[in-house]
Amino acid sequence: MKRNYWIKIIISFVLLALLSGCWDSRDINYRSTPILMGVTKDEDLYHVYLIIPVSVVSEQRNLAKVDGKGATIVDAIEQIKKKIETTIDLEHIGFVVLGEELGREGIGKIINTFMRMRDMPATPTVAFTQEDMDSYIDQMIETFQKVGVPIFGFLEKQAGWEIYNPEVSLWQVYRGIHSYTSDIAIPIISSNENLEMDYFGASVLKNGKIVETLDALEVLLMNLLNNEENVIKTFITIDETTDVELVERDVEYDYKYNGDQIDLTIKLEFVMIVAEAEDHLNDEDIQKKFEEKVEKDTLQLVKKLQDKHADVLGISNRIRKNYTHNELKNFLNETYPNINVKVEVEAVIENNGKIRNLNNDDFEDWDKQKQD
Amino acid sequence: MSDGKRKGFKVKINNLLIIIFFLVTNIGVMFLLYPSLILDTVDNGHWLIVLIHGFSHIALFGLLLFGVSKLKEPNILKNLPKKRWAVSLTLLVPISLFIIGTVIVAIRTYAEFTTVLFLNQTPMFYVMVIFITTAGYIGLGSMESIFRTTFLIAATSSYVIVVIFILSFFNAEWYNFFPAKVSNFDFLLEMPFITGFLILSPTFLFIAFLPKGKKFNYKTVFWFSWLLILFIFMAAYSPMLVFGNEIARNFTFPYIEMLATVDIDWSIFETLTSLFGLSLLIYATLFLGMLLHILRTLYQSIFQTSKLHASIAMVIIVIFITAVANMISTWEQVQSHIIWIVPLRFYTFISLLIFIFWIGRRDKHET
Amino acid sequence: MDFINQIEDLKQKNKDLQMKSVIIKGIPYDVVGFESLVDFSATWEMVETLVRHEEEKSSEPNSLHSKETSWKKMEFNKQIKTLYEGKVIIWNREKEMSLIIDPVSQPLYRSIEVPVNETTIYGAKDAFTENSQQNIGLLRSKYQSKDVEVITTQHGKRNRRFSFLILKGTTEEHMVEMIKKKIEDYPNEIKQVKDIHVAFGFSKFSLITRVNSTELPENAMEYIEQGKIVFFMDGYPFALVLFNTVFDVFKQPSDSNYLSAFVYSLYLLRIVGIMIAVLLPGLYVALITINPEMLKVQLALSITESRQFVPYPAFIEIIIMLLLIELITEAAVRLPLSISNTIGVVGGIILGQAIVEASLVSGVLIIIIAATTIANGIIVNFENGITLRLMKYIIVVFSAMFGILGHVIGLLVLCSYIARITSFGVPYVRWKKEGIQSENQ
Repeated sequence: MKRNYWIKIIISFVLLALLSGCWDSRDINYRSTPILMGVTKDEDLYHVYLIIPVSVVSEQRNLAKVDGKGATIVDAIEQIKKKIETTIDLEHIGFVVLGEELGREGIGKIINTFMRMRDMPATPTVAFTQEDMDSYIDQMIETFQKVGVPIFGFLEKQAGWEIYNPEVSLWQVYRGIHSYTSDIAIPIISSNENLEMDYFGASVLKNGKIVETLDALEVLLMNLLNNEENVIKTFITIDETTDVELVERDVEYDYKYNGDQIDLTIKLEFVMIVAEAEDHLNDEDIQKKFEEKVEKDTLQLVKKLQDKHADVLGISNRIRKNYTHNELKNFLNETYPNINVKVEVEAVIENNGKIRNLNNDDFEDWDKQKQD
Repeated sequence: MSDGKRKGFKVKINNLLIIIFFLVTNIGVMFLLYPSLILDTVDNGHWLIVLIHGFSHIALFGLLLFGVSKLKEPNILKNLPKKRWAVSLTLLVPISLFIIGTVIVAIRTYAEFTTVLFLNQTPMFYVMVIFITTAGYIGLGSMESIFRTTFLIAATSSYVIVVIFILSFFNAEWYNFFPAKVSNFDFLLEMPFITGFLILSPTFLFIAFLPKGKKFNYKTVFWFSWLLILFIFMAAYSPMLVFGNEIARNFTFPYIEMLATVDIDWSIFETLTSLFGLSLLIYATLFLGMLLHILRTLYQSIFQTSKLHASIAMVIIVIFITAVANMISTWEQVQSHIIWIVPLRFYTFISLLIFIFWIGRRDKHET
Repeated sequence: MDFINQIEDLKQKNKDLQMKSVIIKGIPYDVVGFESLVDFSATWEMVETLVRHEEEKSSEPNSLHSKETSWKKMEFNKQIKTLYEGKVIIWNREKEMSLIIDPVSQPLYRSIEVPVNETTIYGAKDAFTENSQQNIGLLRSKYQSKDVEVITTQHGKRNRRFSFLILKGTTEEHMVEMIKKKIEDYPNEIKQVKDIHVAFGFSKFSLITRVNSTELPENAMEYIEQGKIVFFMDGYPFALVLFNTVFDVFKQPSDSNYLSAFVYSLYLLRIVGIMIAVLLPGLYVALITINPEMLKVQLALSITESRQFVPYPAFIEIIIMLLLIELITEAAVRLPLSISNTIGVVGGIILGQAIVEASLVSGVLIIIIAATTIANGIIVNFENGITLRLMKYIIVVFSAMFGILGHVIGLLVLCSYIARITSFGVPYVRWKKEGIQSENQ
């Protein structure tokens, strides 16, 4: 029995040795790990750029730009692979930047390819740029080297991308394109002299095509309505002289069926801090100003999106429960534009920062009671 | 410490080993093909499918447990009647074929999964060989040793699995639970449902082949098997909650794709997918090892040979299995092969239950 | 040939055999014994009083005669045998009878000292010695009860004594009987622990030590109470413990002297240590060579940087480094204590620093190796440490071939290997409370 046992082990080891599976064996220093991919279209060919960190002997880390052209995305990547000696591992890509003209043609196929590819992760952040991709990438690398941002800062998703960005991952784009009840808005970025990336708004995709562009405030509202966690602690400019900081917010969607009609009331509640205000305003004034502004802008945003049959606010998502799979297929084109939307905003001022607002009559209630 | 007390301990521990093995193999088998099968069955109201599948699994498992608990010897091979060939033909040979078919499909599926996840360039044949070799090595041990291996593996990897289960709801959106309306019951007679029905049953087979003298508390094991519903729910619903069912069904391995979306900062590994995939693969290898072990004992029983002879036969069968699995070249074929095994699956379990019932009746008459 | 002549004969061959004659009460006696084993000057007085006492006692009618210390006629060979065990024969020339007594022996055994191999912070500080009588005494002093029984057997030409300890009600006595019989039936000489393995029918190439050694009486007593079988081999200054479990790799009886909360954290720490010691080198190879996509990109970049000029694959690199560490460990054991410190400095600091600067291995690998070596030291019992030291190579080989998948497959194979190890039907992976019951029963 004991001897058999050893024979078994030896056999299994011999088998393993025979296999000597070294097909995937390639040491890490012979692999390149691009961290950013840029895709544009150059006439009929896809033009793919990669930013690869190049280690050098010194402590600094440098970035290199490589690019390739091909009839398809994979072909273009193959072209890049031919150019450099090392193997390219796409697993570490953290950012995918697409040229905006691609968005107008439709990026559904590109996103599908990315999701299909074995070595592409599902988590990189996706953005559009309106600039020329070549100069954009050059500008990025230059900024990086000039400012000396450590490469790890570049890779940290929190840094560089403004906090109220609708930071969108590849899988979310894929979901947005294929989902029956929601669409996706992809941020538009651009290179800048001082910042790594600057923010210009977002493009709303419908079936993979850009149908609408949102500006900064609209993006912020979109995030508010989508219950994004990192929206709080942002500033909203009400007019030239007044600015408030949001501390807390709460969103409620209230659906009512009225025969064939659906009435939706979006209730927004805010707690805020006054950051900048004219001297003569008291809390109530600021509050009212804020409420009016948000209400107007939100309603405008909703109407704008409804016209384009695109839902990035999660309005349709929340009434999925009332429909079946087949009914949802055309939901965005048929039912969604006809939803009657009303917006109610309620704001409370928590404090005025370090300065008291003397316009407030803090003892008003007290005085009234006394008089009674 | 009195003898009785010590035996008391022994019972408890065997319970734990069996429960761990049951749960671990089910996790290993469930999360690859099962979610897409459930997603394919209906368009909305998947919770019903989850419940039907879950309860049918538990019912089958409970029946097997109940039947075995009434036998004097938990191993059905110890209860064979004198006319061995009749039982061999009607019961043991179909079980063996069922096991061989299951192993072939499973090996191919796991190899496919491995090449997608870790070894992009390695030929699938070699991946299959490494799995089947390991499973064969495990299968050459006693059933007790397989249980204990499972315990060790569970002790090293269970916390990873628990963390992953919690994190799999990281990106979940509650509204993707819907549409939850059940529109009709046509699916009951359609192919995806029948294919998925009792698809986890190979993991129950070991209950009928426990080594002699194994005494455990059947009720405790049965109550733990209810966790199965939770796992099925997780397998089917966490990809749905993240993507929505209309998108989740696009993926070959929805659960794995769902895990790929979880972006964690604090782990030293880039994604959870690989960790989970690894756990799945070793759990599945344990499952395959158990199947091969059962196959070996079946062979020993059908041809009444020595242990060594059966081991050699098992090695030959394993080579055969690898060769057949290597012949399956496309993913489509894998899916059609799964359908081929379906009648064998139903036949195996019905005849197994009848046989256990028959032994019970015979034992009763004898006494 | 009579006794005296035979002794004279023997004296020719063994120069240290002494025979002294003395006349007490007119009767001539001969005292025979090995000078090298017996302290004659101290024994002399004892012999005299004993002989006188015996004379008096024998005159008394109802005296208590114990079998051992009474005058009797014995075969010459038997008497000689007792001589080799360090006893002294008193020969009565007139009656031609002999008396065998235990003399004051030469100080051949060292006294009880503090443990060297298994150091404890809180716990009993005595350690076993080469003398198994002394060892049994140590255990008896820990468990002063009539429940402790000792059975012995002697084996081979060397007459080596094996003493088994039995705790009534806990130890499986038929197991002890069986093991005793295995030793008695073993045809060859039992020289080292390896021979015991062979006598028990265990594989010589097993990765797991089935017969563990412990230096601490406290541990040995605890093991007996757990139902394990503890026995002594004369001349081997450790208690041999059979039926160890996988839990003994990170549990130690003297741990219980700490706070419970600390003890459990300690177990956790040791488990993590075991994981690091076995898995980390393999993980390095797997992640560097085949599956770098699993690493966080920051980590991947810094490893790339540190591996920039390393000319060979990670597998070769790690084998070189592991080999170096094993050499250092072995050298430190071989060399005298005062010099072995130098090895530590040379090996650890100078070599480690230089090898990185020469780009022969990467800096990250040095950290990996250091962590592995340190973690290996956390494991209870040196023998278990050796096991893990060997296992990590298996994992490294698997990882080099199939990457992270090979890594876990290697782990699975090892787990399966451990799980199927049984000693006399008792599995190695079992609970303390599961009891030692042979499956064959």
